This record gives sequence, structure tokens and C-alpha cells, in this order.
Amino acid sequence: MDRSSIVERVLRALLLTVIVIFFLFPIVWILLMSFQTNEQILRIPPSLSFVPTLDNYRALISGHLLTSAGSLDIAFMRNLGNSVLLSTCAVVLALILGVPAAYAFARFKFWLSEDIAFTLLSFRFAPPLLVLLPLSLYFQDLGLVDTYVGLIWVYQLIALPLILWIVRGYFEDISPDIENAYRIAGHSWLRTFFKIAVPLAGPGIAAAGLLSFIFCWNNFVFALILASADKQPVTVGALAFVTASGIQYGQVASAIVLSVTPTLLLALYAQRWLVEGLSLGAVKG
Amino acid sequence: MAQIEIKDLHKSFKDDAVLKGLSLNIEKGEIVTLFGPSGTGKTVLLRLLAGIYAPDAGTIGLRGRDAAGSPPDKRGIGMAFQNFALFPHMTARDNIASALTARKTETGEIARKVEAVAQLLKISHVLEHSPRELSNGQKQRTALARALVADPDILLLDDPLRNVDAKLRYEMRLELPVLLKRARSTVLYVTQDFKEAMALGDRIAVLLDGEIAQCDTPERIYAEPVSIGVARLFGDPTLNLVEVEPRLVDGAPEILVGGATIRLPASYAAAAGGRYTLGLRPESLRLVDAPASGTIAVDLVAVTPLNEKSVLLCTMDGGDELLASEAGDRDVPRRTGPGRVALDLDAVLLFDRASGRRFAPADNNGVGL
Amino acid sequence: MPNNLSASLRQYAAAVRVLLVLTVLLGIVYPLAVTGVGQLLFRAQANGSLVSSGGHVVGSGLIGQNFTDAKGNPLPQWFQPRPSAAGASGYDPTSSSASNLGPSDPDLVKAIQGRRASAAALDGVPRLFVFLRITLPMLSPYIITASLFRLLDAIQQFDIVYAMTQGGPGNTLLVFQVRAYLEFYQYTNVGKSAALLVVLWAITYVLSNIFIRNWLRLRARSHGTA
Repeated sequence: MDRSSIVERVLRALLLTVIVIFFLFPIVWILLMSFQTNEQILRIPPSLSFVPTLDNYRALISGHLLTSAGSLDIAFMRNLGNSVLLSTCAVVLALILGVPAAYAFARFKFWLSEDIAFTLLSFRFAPPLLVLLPLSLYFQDLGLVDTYVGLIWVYQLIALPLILWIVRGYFEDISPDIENAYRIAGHSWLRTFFKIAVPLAGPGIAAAGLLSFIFCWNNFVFALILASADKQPVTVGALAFVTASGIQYGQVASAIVLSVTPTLLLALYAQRWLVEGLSLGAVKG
Repeated sequence: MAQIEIKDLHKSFKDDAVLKGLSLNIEKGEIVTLFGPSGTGKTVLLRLLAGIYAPDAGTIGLRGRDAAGSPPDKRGIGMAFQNFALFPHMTARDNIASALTARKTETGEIARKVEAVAQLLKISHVLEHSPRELSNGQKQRTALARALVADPDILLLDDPLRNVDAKLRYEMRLELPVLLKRARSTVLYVTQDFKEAMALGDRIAVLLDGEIAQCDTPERIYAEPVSIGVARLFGDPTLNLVEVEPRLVDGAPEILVGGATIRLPASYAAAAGGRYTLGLRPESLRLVDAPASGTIAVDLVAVTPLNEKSVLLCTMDGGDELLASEAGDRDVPRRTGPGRVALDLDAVLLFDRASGRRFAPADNNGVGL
Repeated sequence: MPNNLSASLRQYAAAVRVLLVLTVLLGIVYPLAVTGVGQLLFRAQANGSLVSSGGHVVGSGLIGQNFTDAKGNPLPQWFQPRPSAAGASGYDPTSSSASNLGPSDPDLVKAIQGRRASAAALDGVPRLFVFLRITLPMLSPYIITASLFRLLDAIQQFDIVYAMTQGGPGNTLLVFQVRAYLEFYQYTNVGKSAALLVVLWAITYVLSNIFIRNWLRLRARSHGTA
């Protein structure tokens, strides 16, 4: 560090600034937009000084979209509620199913265990539409189209592989002797699982849960295909802002701010755990 | 009926056969040390007894009943692991109490017993610490406390003194027998240190090649080892081995050692004509001044004074080396050079060269032991 | 029989005579002669090409030496010799090699890369050079794995493209999944859509296999079990 010349230091600062602006710019701009009226947004040339207004937020929360042609009902808060419901339930279900499965993969080497784990991980990388398009036909037969249950079930495709692989790594890191000692002390297998294995893998389970929540929240295709208006999460609901009377940029912006805030706050709060979980135990200790 | 009965136990991992037909009986209240070089399967045997592994073949009987199919939590055993295996997210107190909470003891009783065992092992002042904050010695004592607190009648201790510094190991070697006797449990104690094995065990079970080679009191194992393998594991410095071929001369067995003719006691007569290896414990060899019958001419090459004893390295005619050990208070020549060594004929060991088994000298009735 | 005995005895005597003569000639006379010649004609070289300074011997012209001070910094008044990794601090004449690791041994490869980095730092090589020639190659497995990961996600891109352009003005942004989606819903060509998706899946399956295997290998390597 002491060897770097002035030129290097300036270059480095410049590069960092460019990258930060590149990534943060859309978010900052949207934030600003959410406090402006449509006229201010569309003004040419765009200016940075404006009189902030809360009209956009008021319209969203009350459910009435104000356009130049009149007022439209917008069910944005309902969409927000759907997002919360779907993501939370999907993650809870995935944890209930995934944590014991991860334990099984970590501790027991049963026939084909590596192949099954591999296949489950590969779901993460398969194109979702491959499954969704035929599924939309089957769901109609099953009567699951446009139901919360159907959506939560399909959301497992996103949440389960993640939880399985992250939590399995954490279980593998616990020395089996600790569990053996607890069993020899006289506790059943189930008690050992809940009192020893799960608490010791706690950080990993939390990280996996958070990550799955964020991925479920950000999901677009699943709800697009398998749900209709009143069950859609915010990601799909944002499409509704493209109205016949023109795109209401101000309200879109405030809708986006409201959609992004929960996951952004979660990620900021838990960023250390998320990085740990993301590296999936690649670096020991 | 023995409290622990192991019959013909077999266990392999992948292609590695660790235990090959191991049998051992341990009586109630006995302390048996399981001793052997590393990697021979001592830990595996303990885990089979605890129910962590299942044997490939053979039976394990605990308290007269076959333990097959019985899970670890139902066996009523206390176990202390080599790497402590303490629960990192609980305090030392909760670690120890875990052996009692399973048996639905009431809280008052649990606290009392934990305090009692902690006082016994001198860790009362660190009970509220988490394992991270304990020193190795304190961790080891906590692990022991956890094994002892529920008064199990069977105790399995897997080399608990291994990861502990030398000073503490020495202290515990004196305290442990008292502790174990007071607990009145049947104890199987695994160790790799022969001194520990001899100090702690009522009997020593020597594990070699996947089987128990010998299970006897420490005195008998030392004086009457069943094979060369067992004899070599005990004694510091290790046993001297010389190849001999006993011959009957005038009706008495004689051997040639380093050019000197040594007359063996008559009980070895049956060994004549065979090929054997003579085992000489260093403490049974003495440096003498005058040549006499039954002494060997040697060249004293090096003297290592070790306070309580001195180790003398000598070479005989023909180049074989002998290690002799003299107790510290004897006058030991500091000068190297030629000298003579006398054997204690009551302490010699004769091993068959082909099988390694010890030749048992006949007792007074002419019958082999 | 006496005849044979004396004949063989004569043979033995002759053999012993040859032995003695040759021992003296080849074992004593010849070495002495050559040593003498060496001392007469090439005295300095025969005695090890010793270099002395101020009256005592400081080294040999044939054996490499350290010319650094106590802290390991090169002394400016001497030319620095060729590098040596013999023994713990180099230039140990009794050591026969730097290590006995083979050229493809991963420990050796890693150590060499580390040494190159520190050698570059010592020589004042520009850091950009160090970055390009040393850091990047060492990072390359991780870079490749990360790139594969992103490539997989990029091929399957649907959300942004569909939401913003629905396939682009005309057909310009019809990426795999967007096309499949539109075939299914707009043109109700279920078969065609399915075929597209299966092709996409085949591609991602192959790529994800490579990725997962690579990632597991890197994970095992950093766990120290590779």
C-alpha cells in the first residue's frame, strides 16, 4: 500500500466511484422518482431538484391510482401481502422439509445419496419454464391454479435445494462425537437432533432461510404463470402499472421502493450470515 | 457371569479388517486397561460397546443380556471421549447435567449431583464457563464428570489423558484409580502408554492384530508375556532380543549368547533342539567385574544417566547390542570399555522364533505351564 | 592329483602376482603421479580454486555463496550470485536439491507461485505485471467457476426481458425462455415451446454439471482433502 503511486490511488478511487454509481444509481434514481409527480419525472432535461410529494405513496396505500384520465383501483398492497405470505410460508415449509433431509445427507451415506443430492442441486440451475409450462396444464386439472397452496408448493423448487446444500455443509462440520456423547448420556435420537444438531447448525439454518426468503421474494415467473391477479406477488403486480392511460412512473417507483425495502433491510441486517452461507463452507474456520 | 462379555467380535471398515475375532470378559467392578499400539482398533472396540457402531459378526453381552439392537441411549454406559466431545453451546454445568436430564431426575437432585462430582474433580469454580473458555485439563475433567455423574455401572474411558499436558497427566494418573475405585463401576480404560496401563488396571488387555493377545494382571503380563509382540510393548528401554538355539549338554539346556555359554534352568530342557529368541529385560542384566560362568563379555559403548536409572549400551561379540538398565543408586562405571554382564536366569524369556509365542518352562512336576 | 594341484597352484600364484602388481600400479603409483602433476601444473584448481582475502580463505570459485547481510538484504558492494535453494537458507554445499517434490506436485506449484510473487515484489516489478502474471492465474479456477455460474443464469434470463420488452421490438430480444413462453401462450405451440425448453435444459445440464463438479473440487481443495 505504501508503494502505490498517486496515479494508482487516483485511478483506484475513480474506478470504485464508477462501479458504485453503476450499481447504486438505479436504486437512488427510483427513490427520487418515488417522491416526484409524473410531470416532474418526464421533464426534459431531467433535473435533480424538485419538490418532494407523498402523493405516490398515498395512492398506493389507499389503493387508488390517479391518472390523467381518472382513478383506477390498484391492488398493490394486496400484492405486497401476497409476497409476504408466499415467501414466508414457502421458506417455513422448506425448512421443515429441508433441515432433516440435510441432516440425513450429512450423516448417513445411503445408496445413491450423492446422486440424489447432486440432482436436487441441479434443479437450481434448470430453466424454470421447463417445469412451469406443463405444470400450468396439470395444475388446472388438479384445481391448484391460482391458489396459495399451489404456489407455495412450487416455490419449494427455489427454496429447498438452497436450504439442503447450505445446511448440509453446516451439519457436516459438526463432529459426530458430540452427538454420540449426547446419545450415550441417555437421550434419544430425536432429542439429540433438536437439542444438539439443530442449535449447532443454527447460523447456517438462519442464513439458508434468509437467502431462500430473498430468492422467493424476487421470483417472477412462477407467479406469472400459475397465479392470477389477486394472488400475485409484487414482482408480477408491478406489471399492472403499465396501464392503458400511460405508465405512471411515480407510482411505479414508489411501488418498487416498497417492494425492495423488506429484502434490502433483511440483507443489510444479516449480511455477515448471508456471505457465510453463500460461500457454503468453502473456507473452513 | 461377567458384566461385559465380548465373544468373537469382527468389525471391518471398507476393506480394512480392524477387529478379527476379539473375545474378552470383564467382571463386575473390575478396571481393565485396553492397551495396544495406535490404530489397532481400541477406539473401535469402545464404540462397539457403546452402541455407536454395530459389529459385523460376534456378540456383545452387557449385564448378561445380548446388547445387539440396543441403541446407545439405552445401554446405561458412561463414556469419556479422547477429544472431550463437550457440547459447545452449553455451559460446563449443563454438559455434566446432560447425563442426568435424560433420566428424568428432578432439578434439585441434578444440581446436587453435579456439584458433588464437580467438587470431586476440582472443577467447581468453572461450572458456569462454556467449553471454549476451559483449559484442556478442565475440559478433560468436565468430560470425565459427565461420564461419572449418573453413577453408571459400566464406564468406557477412551484415552482421556492423551490431550492433556504432562504434569496434569501425572497427577491424574495418581488420582484416577482412587476415583474409579470409589465409583465402583466396571471400567474399560483405553491407553497407548504402557506405564498408564500398568498403573491403572486390575488387568491389562493387550490388543494386537485385531484380537486380545493376552489379558492378565500387570505383573503377569510383564513377567510372563504370551508372545514377543506383547513383551515388546512393555518395558522402557525395550526388551533385548537375541537369537539362540538351546542344546542339551550333560542333560542341562545351554545357550550361546555373545560367545558365552549360559546354562538355563532345567525347566527349559524341553526347548533343546529348537530355534528360539531369547528375551532379556534390561533391568535383569547387571554389569559385573569378575568373569564368572554365566556372564557375557561385552564392550560398554555408552552410558545414559537418567536419575532414577542409568541405561547402558553394550555390544557383545558378534555385534549384537544389549541395553542394560541399572537402578540409580548403584555405582555405574562411567568409563566405556570391556566388561561383563550377568543375567538373572529367573527373568529370562524364551520365544519360539517361528510363532513368536513364549516357551513356558516346565514347573517342578515337569508339566508345562 | 599332484599334477592338477600344482597347475592350479601356479594359476593362483599368477593371479595373486597380478593382483599385487596392479594394486601397486593402479592404486598407488598412478594416483600419486596424477596428484603430483596436478599440484605441479594446476595448483590452484587442484586444491579447490580457493579464494582468499586478507590472508585467509573465504570461499571457492566453484561453490556459490551468500552475499547478503544478516537480515537477508543483498550487500551493495558485491555482485549477487545465481540464485540457490539448496538447504534451508540456500547455498548449502552439502544439500543436493531444493526439495524432492516432482514438477507437477501441487504443493510445489503453489510454492513456486508464491515465490514468484515475492520475488516480483523484491525486484520492484510493477504491480500490474504481478497481477496479470501471478495473481490472475492463481485466481483463474475461481473466476471460471463464478463465470460459469453467471453464464448459467444469463442463458436462462426471463424476468427482465419479458417485463420490459416482451420479446423486444419485433423479434429482437426473443431469448430462450421468452420465446418458449410466447410460443406457449401467444401462439399455443405447446410442442415447439417444450422442444425449446428441452434444448435449453440440455445445455444448462451440461454446464451445471461442469460447474458443480468444479465447485466441489475447489471446496474439497480448500478443506484440504483433495
